[in-house]
Amino acid sequence: MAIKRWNILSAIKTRMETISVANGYYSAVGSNVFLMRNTPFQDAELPALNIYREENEVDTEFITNEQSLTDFALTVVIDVVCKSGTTTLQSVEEIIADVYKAISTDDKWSTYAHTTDTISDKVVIVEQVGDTGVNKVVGGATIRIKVYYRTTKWLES
Amino acid sequence: MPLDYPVDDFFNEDELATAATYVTAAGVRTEILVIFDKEYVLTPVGDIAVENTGPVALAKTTDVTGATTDCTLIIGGTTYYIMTAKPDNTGITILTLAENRSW
Repeated sequence: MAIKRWNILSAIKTRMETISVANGYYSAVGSNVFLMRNTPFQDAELPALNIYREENEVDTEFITNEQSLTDFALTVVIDVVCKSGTTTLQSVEEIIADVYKAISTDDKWSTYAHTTDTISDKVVIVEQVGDTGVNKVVGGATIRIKVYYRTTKWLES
Repeated sequence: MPLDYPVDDFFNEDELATAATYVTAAGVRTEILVIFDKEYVLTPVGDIAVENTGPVALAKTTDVTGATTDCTLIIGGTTYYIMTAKPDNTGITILTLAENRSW
């Protein structure tokens, strides 16, 4: 039986891979989308998205009298890393806009979720680390979303 | 008051020092000697790390007095922006460098 959380994460990755200029987005970040990657990125791989999940909380907002169901709110983080240069900040903002636009095409992720909400986004620019310079200034962002879904109690269906 | 160390002894092209061109914000170019290092570093961006290098140059403070972020240093044909200039009070200034910047 398919694992719903995994289906959601996979659907998010697949959707993000559609981000390209040809598809009407600002960026082509869709060619470098990763799931739960924890190895360093190389310059040639940028811009890139890295998707991972945080907490999967029981969601009390949609409580029903149906005792056989459990509602969850899965926090998903989409990290953005951008190529360096004087347009880094603009590129980061464009990719954030692209991610939101991609989510908007179907925030139910086919039939896996009720809906998806934005939690926050935060931009980071790194120009120095400790006492060393950073040869290629790097920019990025962290986007947090919450995906609401339901399963049969204790099961994945 | 800066301490009086014999810093010239450190800036020897036959040893660690290398030739560089220091360019002020006004475009004035001066040939100086620096001790240049560009080691591999990982740059953390949120929860992601990006492979990078961390260029740093040590220069005689008297050669780069008044260095600002509008000044550059050309080393081996590559132009680096001076991101920070930190005099260490012994006559040496630590310059953190970047090939590009976000502004």
